Amino acid sequence: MSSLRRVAGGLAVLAVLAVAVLGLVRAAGDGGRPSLEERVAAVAGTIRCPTCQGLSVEDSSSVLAGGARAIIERQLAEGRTPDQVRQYFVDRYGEQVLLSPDPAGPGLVVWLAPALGVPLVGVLVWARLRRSRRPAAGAPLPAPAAAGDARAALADYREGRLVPDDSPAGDALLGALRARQLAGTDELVDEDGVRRAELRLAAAHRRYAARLPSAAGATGRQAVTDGAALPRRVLTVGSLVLVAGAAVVAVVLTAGDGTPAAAGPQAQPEVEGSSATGPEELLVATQQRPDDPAAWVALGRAYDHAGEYADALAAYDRALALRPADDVVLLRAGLLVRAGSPAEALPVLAELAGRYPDEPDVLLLLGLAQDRTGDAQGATTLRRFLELDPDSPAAPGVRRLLEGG
Amino acid sequence: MSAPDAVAQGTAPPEESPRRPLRRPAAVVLVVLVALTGIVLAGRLGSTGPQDSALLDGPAPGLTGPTLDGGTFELADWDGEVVLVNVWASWCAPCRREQPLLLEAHSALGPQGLRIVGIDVRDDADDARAFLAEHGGAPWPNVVDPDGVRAVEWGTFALPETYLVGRDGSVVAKASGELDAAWIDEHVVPLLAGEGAP
Repeated sequence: MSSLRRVAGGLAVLAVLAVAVLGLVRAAGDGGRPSLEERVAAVAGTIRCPTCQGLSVEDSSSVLAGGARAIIERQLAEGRTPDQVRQYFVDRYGEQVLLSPDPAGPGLVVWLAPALGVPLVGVLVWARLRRSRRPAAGAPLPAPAAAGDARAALADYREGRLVPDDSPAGDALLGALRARQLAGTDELVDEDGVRRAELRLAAAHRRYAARLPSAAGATGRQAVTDGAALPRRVLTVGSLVLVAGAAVVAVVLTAGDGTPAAAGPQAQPEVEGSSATGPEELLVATQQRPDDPAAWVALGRAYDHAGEYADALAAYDRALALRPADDVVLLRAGLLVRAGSPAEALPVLAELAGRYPDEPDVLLLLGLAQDRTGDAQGATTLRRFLELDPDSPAAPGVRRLLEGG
Repeated sequence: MSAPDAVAQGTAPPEESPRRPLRRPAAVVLVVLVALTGIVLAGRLGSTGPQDSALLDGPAPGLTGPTLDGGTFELADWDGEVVLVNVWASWCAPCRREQPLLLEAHSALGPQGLRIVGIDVRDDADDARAFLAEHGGAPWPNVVDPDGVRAVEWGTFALPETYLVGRDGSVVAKASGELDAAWIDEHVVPLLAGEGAP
């Protein structure tokens, strides 16, 4: 019965471990086909931003991080592997451009530390558990037997028949004997203390006796204990091997294919060049992160570029519902103006222009919306736009519009 | 507190001595691991500043693209020449300070064959042109690099940086930060005289 239970318990532990290992492998693996953007984010997360300390290219907004991201995106789009992309940066910036140490160099220590540390700690824990379990396994002896053992040992000791040697077990036995004596001579006899001291003494005596070949009875008990501990030991060792295996698999996966577990989950859909990604991929991104406004903005832009205004509008609305932001409001208004609903955009743009009176983008859209709804203010607004941003790519068109109108 | 006392109170671990043999090596291993990790990490931390380029002594990256004056530049057209590649921007103060030295180097060493090309990083074209005009214009091409891609291609850590490309097309030296005359004397002049050529 008890062995059946033990087997069942063992199976349960093994099952939990197997699930944990699978989960780890899956989490470390690529989890399906990631979009280009996600792959860019994954690689960018492993490369140190050249101009700032400790930040990755993915997390930095510094001057050269944008260039580094653009290069990562271009190279991945050309079909290079994450490792080739990283090598490109190593060739230019040296090994230290990698945020995660290269397992080929001295960085190996950093990778090996957890792989070695987990089994090491496991072995220590196991050794400790085994030691504390051994007496416990023999301890189903009822307390009176322990007390008898202890009393016999104490009597032997007092009469000089038991002289502990100076081995560690002998030291422990001597300590237990003295403790028992002390507990017994205490004027206020603490029964609990005496009982504890007797248990300790019995255990120490068993352990001490077990070391002596002549103590046949004790040895026999030890053998039984060993037999009972065997399946449990197999189980413990098996678990340790599994955990160590999981650690190795995780290290190999993380070091190997550039999808580090530490790479943040937030891809940055707004990085330059995201328009190169099609709406389909971005749609997947919004399904994966439906609460990420940036994903919805990226999707809206992609639809916008593709001329699918209704879908773009819906995506912008979704982003705004998640997090109101003026730049998205402006994107949405621009979409309305281009899609032929300038009247709808007009109040929003007028409000934005009130708050950003010198922002050329706002003035351009407001001017166009006014112009298209027949508002005479349009020409004034557009002239103000030209003053503020005479070199804008939109400027020639606006000049033609003003001259023609 | 003596050992028997502790045992009597039932607080001390009962088998202190038997555990010791295992505990000591484990502690040593732990300390060694921590120390090694610390050394590795400290080594990496110490080497994060702007520094020598990994490109040194290797082939120079390509450089091609539109220039500030509306033309197109192609570094390969200067094969076999000594070239200074200066990475700059109008918003960068040390770039402004080193500009006179570059102009001086150009007029003094240009006749000996020195070529200069700029990479104008993440700059507004008008600001950049105004910057050059302030110094009386630059008599060399400046490739525009609106998103910093070309600077990264050259392994730039921070602006300004200047790379010296030898006649064999390899990166011979790199100056991080503001150029000074000593660097030019030390690296550019001998290279022009042929000492640095292979």
